[in-house]
Amino acid sequence: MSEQRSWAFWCARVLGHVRFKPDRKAIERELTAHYEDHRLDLERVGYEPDLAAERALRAMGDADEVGRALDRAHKPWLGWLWEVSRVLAVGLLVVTAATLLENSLFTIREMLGRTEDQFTWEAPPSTASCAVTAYGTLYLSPGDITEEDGRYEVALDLWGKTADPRTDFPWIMPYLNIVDDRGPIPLGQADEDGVWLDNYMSRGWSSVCWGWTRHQMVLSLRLDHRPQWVEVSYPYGGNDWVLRAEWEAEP
Amino acid sequence: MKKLHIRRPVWRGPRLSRKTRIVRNLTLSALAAAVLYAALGFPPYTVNGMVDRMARRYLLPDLEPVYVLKDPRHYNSDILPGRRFTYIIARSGEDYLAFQYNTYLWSSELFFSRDPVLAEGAYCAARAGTLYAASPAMASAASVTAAVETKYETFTLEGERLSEEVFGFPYRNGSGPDLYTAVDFAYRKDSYVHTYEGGTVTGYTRVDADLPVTVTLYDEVGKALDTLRLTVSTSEITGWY
Repeated sequence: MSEQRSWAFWCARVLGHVRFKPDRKAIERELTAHYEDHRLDLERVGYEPDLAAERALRAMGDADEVGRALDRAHKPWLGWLWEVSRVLAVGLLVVTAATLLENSLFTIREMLGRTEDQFTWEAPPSTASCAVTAYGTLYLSPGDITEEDGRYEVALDLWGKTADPRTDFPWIMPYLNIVDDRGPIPLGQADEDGVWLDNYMSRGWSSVCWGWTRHQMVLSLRLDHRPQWVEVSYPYGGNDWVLRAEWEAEP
Repeated sequence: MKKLHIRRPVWRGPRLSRKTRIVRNLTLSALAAAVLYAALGFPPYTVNGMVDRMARRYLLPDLEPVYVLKDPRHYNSDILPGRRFTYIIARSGEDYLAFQYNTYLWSSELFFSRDPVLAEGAYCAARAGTLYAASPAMASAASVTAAVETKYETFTLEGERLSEEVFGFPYRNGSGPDLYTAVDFAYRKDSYVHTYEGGTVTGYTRVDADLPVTVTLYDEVGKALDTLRLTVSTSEITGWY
């Protein structure tokens, strides 16, 4: 039998013991590299090629013993887990990158913005009216009142702390009941030019801070009078809380 | 002279064991999955997850689904099948919250053209050819009818029970006059022609109006038990989603 055939036979015998087939090629490459290195080293120090091959092959050891040892090192469950983890990691990285670049609801910039807001938010003052709900805590504090031509823009500072970052600030704004010392304040809106409606009553909101669990908004009421106080409630789902903001009387 | 065999060293970084590489890959996967989940807006994939998300967003702690419709869909742009709309009517005390999720592959988000609706006491909406009405009173009704008043005529629809407190009223019969056709014709506003490279599209817009709906509940012998005065929008009646 030629030395080359002997090597191929030895190698096949070793690989026959390795149950995790996807590793067999790599093992064969590794073994061949060892064998070739040894064989070439022997040739370099003066061995005849055939003798060098025979000695190098003998030095590789007993094929069955090496095969069993390699099988123990290349456990099939570990091998498959490695394959799965590789596919999973590559797949998820590709999908995540594609989603962030193409069509995500939150872009990287928005996610970083949220994270920044989360850590830079201004906590509500200790005097703020507070409502503890099943899913978070709401705070209300009186904001600035500005007057122009007898029309008042009244700011209400509203904070929300949620327990779950997936929740977002509660989407309850259109359903809030808002009353002041003169009665209910209906939900209205400015026309397209930003001009107030005839009754000069409307309310709108803008975001100041939008973190993952910490949010701050300003609720703007547009009124034809200066309110002494405003109460905000949400009459759904058994929510019986009332948030109240009070302003000091004008001097 | 024999050629000297020198294997050039190639630096491939520290050689990690297979176990270490598995741990590294799984850690990377978990990180990527977390970023993906956040980037997609924390999508809920189950009915319970969707209801829980809406309960938190609308501060309705005891929100329970009273009707769930899973509606498989396919967009022309979909490469793979599997898109599904999940239309849910849920109740918290006396209040109803109705919403629809659009789930496709790893994304699951509220359907953009159907905002969640929070209604006190009773709920009425049209969706893809069916009028839905929900009220706790329907649990004791043997049959229910809904009379929808359009500009020119009133359509009375027979209800079929969908769940304990939800009745559905199919209003598209496929041929002949029906509520859809009546609304489609009666509330047309402006015709338009869009010309673009490669073709022309003609169409019309409709007046968006709330139509009165009178839902009447009957017992087994046909005696009226209760009447609910509700509304439904023309855009929902003519909508496909």
